[in-house]
Amino acid sequence: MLSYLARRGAVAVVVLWIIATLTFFLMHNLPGGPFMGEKRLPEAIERNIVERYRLGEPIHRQYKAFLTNIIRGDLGPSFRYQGRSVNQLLGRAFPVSASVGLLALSLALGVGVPLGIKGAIREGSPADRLIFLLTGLGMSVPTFVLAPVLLYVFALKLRWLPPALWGGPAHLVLPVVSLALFPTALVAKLVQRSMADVLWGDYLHLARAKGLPEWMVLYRHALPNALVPVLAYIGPLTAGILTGSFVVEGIFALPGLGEYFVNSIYNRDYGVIMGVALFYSTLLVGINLAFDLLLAYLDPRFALWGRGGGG
Amino acid sequence: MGLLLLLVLILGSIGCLAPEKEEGVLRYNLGPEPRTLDPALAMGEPELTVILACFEGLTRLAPGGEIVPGVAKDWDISPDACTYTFYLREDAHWSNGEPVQAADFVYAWRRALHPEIASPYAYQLYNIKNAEAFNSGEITDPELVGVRALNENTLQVDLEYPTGYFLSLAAFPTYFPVYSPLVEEGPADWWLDPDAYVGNGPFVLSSWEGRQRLSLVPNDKYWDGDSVRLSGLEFVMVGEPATELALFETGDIHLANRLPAGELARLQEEGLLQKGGDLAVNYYYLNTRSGPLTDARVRRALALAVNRRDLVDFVTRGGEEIALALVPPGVEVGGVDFRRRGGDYIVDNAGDEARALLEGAGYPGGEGFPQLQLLIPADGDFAPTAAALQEMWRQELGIEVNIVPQEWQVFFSTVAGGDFDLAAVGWNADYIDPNSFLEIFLSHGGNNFSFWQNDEYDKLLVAARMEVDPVARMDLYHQAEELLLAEMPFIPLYFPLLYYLEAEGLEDVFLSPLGMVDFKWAALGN
Repeated sequence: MLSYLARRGAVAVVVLWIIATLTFFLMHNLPGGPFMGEKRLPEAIERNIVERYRLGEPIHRQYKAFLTNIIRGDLGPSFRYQGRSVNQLLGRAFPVSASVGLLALSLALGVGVPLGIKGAIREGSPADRLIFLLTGLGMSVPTFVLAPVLLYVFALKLRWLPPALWGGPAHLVLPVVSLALFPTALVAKLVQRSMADVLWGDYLHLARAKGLPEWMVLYRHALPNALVPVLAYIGPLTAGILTGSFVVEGIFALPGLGEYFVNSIYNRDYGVIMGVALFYSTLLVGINLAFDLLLAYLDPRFALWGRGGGG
Repeated sequence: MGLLLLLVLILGSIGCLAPEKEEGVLRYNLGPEPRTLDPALAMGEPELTVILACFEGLTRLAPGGEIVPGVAKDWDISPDACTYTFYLREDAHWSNGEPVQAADFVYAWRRALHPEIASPYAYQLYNIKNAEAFNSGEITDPELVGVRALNENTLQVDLEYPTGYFLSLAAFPTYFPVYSPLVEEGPADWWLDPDAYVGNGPFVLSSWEGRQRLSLVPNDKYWDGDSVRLSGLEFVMVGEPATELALFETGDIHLANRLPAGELARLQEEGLLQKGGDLAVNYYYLNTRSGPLTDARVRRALALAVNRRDLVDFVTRGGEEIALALVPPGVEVGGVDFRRRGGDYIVDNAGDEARALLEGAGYPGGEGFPQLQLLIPADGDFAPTAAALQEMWRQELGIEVNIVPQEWQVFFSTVAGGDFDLAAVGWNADYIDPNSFLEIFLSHGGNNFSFWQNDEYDKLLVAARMEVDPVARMDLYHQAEELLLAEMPFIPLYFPLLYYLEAEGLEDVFLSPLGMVDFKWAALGN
């Protein structure tokens, strides 16, 4: 187990290094720069800016300085938001995205898992039909349609909830629901599928034959096995949902990470581009690793596969 | 269970942050988060708007475009118009109670020009003697820059040439004074710290919580505090125009001026839309080095074939004025509007004349004319106009145009490299003078992406710059504009307006035609 962990850790570091390097060179290949406004500045001023922010240094030297800083955990300054480091910007934005994300994730699991179980027990039951409806909606209505519709109905027409901004708990409802619909549908569907697969397994017949109550059969014996494929999906979902959605955060004007993913590229804010890329990939790699370990714990065959092949 | 506990904790902590809506506090959306609140480094509208509330220059631009006294109560202009002497009011104070003195301006202007500061808007100061030389490192002695304090309350400015619009320049944030003890000895990033921040404007920074909120309260040391009627300003930072509109409709903000283009027609029908003058023009560069566009007849044909009236009535639908010249209305000289005085230089929708010109250039009915590449920025509202023009040129002239959208900075570098035939842009004035538009097309102008070169045009602009008499100066500019429209290195389309929504009771907010919003005189009734 320990060597498995060490090997996975080493692979993760290499993956992160490749991501950092690719992002670094791709980003410096983009035309423009962090100080371009709507007009071209006089040459002398451009020269002063290049000098002050050291934009003119040879790329290999910038790359070296960047790697050294990364190892120290310093993502450098933001070029756009003067006086603010990338660490500060991300440190301020991540809790916002993470709060909304955690709530959405809890909603997705809290609704999706029980619904999936119920739907698996009997085909054609109300729960089954609800899953059908939910997956249909979740798959076909993209967030950028759902979020404005929710905003229009609940904030503008009914006036039950605030339309946007970061404030009280009421401000969280619409973004969390928008963010949760798709994962809820998917989790419910996945749980239903895999539950249906294990539900009539011999060991469950045995459990029932022993006279265990049905809820115990379902939650203690069936669910852990049924959750294995769901966990494989929840890993990347967690990373994605915690780092914020550009669409949901944009529409509801939440000061989360989502904004930086896209706008830092438009702004050529090199430090922030690298920061979000690395932050997201570290989170993704880390969470995947954690879920793989969890899977290995739930089902030791996973770890064995890891030992045998590429892992 | 743990998860549930966490949820309770999160909800609990957020509950405390719920914004309270205070009486007399105007709420407004800045759009993006300000990059800085240092007047020397500001370049975008969000930071310029906040700085305009927290600082004041020698003069201030008032509603209606009038220049009113700011820190300077009065001024003298020498007969050659190259020396300005400003008399500062004795009751001008920094927000910490210290007096604002002439030396503060000298310090701030030299600082903004210092190459190490790398101010993007330093060129706004280039009319001052030796300013450009100092900023570009040609000279290194800041004492040579043409600004000095004659005494505590008298500031003398020497200019490179008579600059008829210098008093309006002096109202621009790059010209604002800064409190030198703070800049020299305060925290390195003093503009991020509301406790340290010192300004001399109608308001003062009271809190700044990243992208959540930025709040200002009235500055009780401001000399004209009686004019300030708001009890505070609260800025939010919302990027999405549709969300800004929703916030306005629910009363969460009092003023919305980043409206979704698709909603303008509806808002206008509902009678909610307010319009203001914007010193801006939308046009297409014509690359005068590219194929058939080297021929002025072809360029004129393309410009004359455009039906601008249809464009603003059916495509942009914002009630814009069509552009048949370069300089928009709203530039007044001696009480006369430059545009009204000059009139139009071309005719809108002149298909017959356009076809005749094209035939004269050897392309009857567009025969043998190569396909043109029209470059547009992918973000923004350039696509509908481009599609409409593509169709007009096909129908009127038989010319095919291929629309190429590119991300803004990629677009900019392609245009600068000359790899296009037509390129769509909007241009906003930096200062209130025809020169802010006409200088685009100087032979060696950094933004002259038509690559058109004309000695006579350059000479006219230089002569205008040196001219002291305002009327004679306007004449020179009109001559230059006429020449420009005859040679047609660009296609003028329309003069955009400022669109905004105001909450009931909101009065006297000034949306400057230069892009920022001035809240000094604003009030919330009822």
